[in-house]
Amino acid sequence: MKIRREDWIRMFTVALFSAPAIAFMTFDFVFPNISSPSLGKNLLAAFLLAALFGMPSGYLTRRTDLAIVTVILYVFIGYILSIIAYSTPFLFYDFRIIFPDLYIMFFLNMTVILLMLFVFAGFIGVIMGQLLAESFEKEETSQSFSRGRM
Amino acid sequence: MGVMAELRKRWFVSMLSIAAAIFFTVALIVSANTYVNVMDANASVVLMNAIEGAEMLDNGSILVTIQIQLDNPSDLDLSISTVSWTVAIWNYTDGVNIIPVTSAYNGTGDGLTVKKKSVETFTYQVIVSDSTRLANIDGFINYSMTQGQDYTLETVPYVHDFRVTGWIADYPHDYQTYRETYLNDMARIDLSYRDGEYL
Repeated sequence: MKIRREDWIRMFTVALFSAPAIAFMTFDFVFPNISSPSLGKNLLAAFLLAALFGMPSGYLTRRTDLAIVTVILYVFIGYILSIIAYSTPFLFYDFRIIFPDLYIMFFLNMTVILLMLFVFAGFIGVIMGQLLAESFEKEETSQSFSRGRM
Repeated sequence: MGVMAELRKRWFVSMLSIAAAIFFTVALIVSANTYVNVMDANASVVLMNAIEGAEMLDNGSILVTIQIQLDNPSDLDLSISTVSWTVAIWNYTDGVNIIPVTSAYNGTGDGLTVKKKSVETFTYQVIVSDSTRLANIDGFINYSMTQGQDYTLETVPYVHDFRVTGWIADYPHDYQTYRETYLNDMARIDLSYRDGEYL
């Protein structure tokens, strides 16, 4: 199916809602002792939060295929943001990385499972978000009909 | 319907999402800033200005001293875990023969902290009066004399080994698994001064 320009804008806008949470949780997973508030490497808490942050994608996007692309988009943006946060001392301050390849590999190694978990939980969040949207619409419809009778 | 119109229509969930996004953005920035501060503390905390001394007292004992400073220019306090100081004479004539002179140790129970942007001075003084130890040092002096070295109790080459360990801002550092021990190392300082060199 065709993706219009407006759909891309919607996907990016919704992705910006969820990406910071993904970025923080990824950073927190690597440095749970210095980040605040920390989830303390609790994968269940990360999964539940990731499902929660998948809900806006389902709630604000009617098309399921676009909602799924939005999940992938915000996980990608969040992951990039977390890499930037992870590299802050070296990108924005005058610190020197001794082994750059090892430094990035370490981050990928630590977070690869988490990355898959975010995508999976995001898909579940999309389903929940769409259910929530349908439920709201049903309620609005029934309310508008009942107002009409009065 | 346009994106903004849709967000306005579903304002409650939109506002919640925006609030959560702002919260996590701030949390990420604060945490990244903490990371920078920890890195800065790791790089900038140093031992400096060590002054060693050995003075002979009237009763034949020796007063051995060290004064050394721990400079913490970072934005985080340091919780000192252990401070240890040993003094020995290293005799290399037949392998390595270490003649202990004195030692001191302070553990975590002392609750010492070094405040941010401050310099803490550690001073240790010990009077060595044990006859066995003094006899060992005299033995070294006498042996050195046969090798052409003229030492006294004050000029013997005492090797001072000072070590201080601690935790940056007391961040959690009790991780046990192999994959997590890097977190302990990140929050840890371990500085030494040995035989005139800062390690």
